[in-house]
Amino acid sequence: MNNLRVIFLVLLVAGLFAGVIASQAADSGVTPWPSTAEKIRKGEIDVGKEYGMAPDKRFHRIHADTVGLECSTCHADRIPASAQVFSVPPAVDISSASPGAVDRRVCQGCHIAGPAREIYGPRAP
Amino acid sequence: MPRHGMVIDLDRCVGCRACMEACKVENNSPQAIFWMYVFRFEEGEFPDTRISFMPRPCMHCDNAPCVKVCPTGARYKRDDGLVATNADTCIGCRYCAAVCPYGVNYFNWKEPKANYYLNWSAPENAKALAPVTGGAVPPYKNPDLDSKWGKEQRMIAGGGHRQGVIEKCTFCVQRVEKGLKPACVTACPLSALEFGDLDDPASAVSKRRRSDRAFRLREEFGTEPRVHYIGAARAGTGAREIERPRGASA
Repeated sequence: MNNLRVIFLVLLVAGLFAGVIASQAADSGVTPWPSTAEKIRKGEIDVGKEYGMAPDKRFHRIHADTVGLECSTCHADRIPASAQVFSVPPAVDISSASPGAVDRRVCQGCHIAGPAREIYGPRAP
Repeated sequence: MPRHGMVIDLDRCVGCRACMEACKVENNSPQAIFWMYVFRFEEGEFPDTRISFMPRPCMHCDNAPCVKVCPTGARYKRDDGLVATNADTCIGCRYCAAVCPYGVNYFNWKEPKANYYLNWSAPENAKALAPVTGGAVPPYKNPDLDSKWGKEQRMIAGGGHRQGVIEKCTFCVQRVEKGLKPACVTACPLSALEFGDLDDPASAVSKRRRSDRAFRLREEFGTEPRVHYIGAARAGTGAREIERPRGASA
């Protein structure tokens, strides 16, 4: 009886260990973002229901909190002038508290046939 | 159904910004909001400098990212291709501004003040105006902007000049619905801007965009913009933008 208990416990621990390993592989494998994006789409990850660009709203909860992008990934101090022209609407005076302009090419990394929802299309032939 | 589009000839543009003025007058856009904006670039060092201009309205993209991300459907594409914003259903999340590669979306952080549109019929203004106009009283606000347009009858013509709502160029939908061209096109003294049906091979806009010098802005985003530029006056990589507001420069 004791042997059966030991065997059962060993199998249980082994099963749990395998589960943890599989979970880690899924979350930190080669392409972890598709699963994250999928979970967000399915509502399995709570990113809030308030759409907005403020840090506590959905946009930053997805990109900063859930996906884990560093602020500097998007808010670069210096971006090429060619990209900067359109990064901020003309005549909009950014306050000194602004984290900085965002080069939309950063978004393309995931949002053009990437792991996240496709927003941009392929370049026209 | 026509497929509206615009052609902007950079070789003809002299940067007079009449298009910007016409847009402001037609659409009564609030201060610091420019549905049409003419960028001015300079290259080189004095005295060997070169200036170039680039008018920039909304591109009314066929594959508009702003339409895809709008959570309420306030930003949508009409059958004639105009990308419109329903001011009544916009929640001001600014997702459209975040994804647009052209920076055409403006957010009303504050309620536009009444004096953004000078009330010419007010006694004090009429008195000041009379010597200039001989007593004529121009309209101070386009009444079309408070109307609903399109088969869906939505508030898309700029009536959304209100706090918490995003706004952008509409290609003057209120004029297009009447068979007119956008105000910027009409105002251009050099016919640098042309508007019409891109599907009509005989239209002026179609003929002009067939130029071998035609290009579209930031095609690498695959947005399929409906604004086509032609001309060799495109600013070079070393160009500096003139008049960039403080804080917006790198």
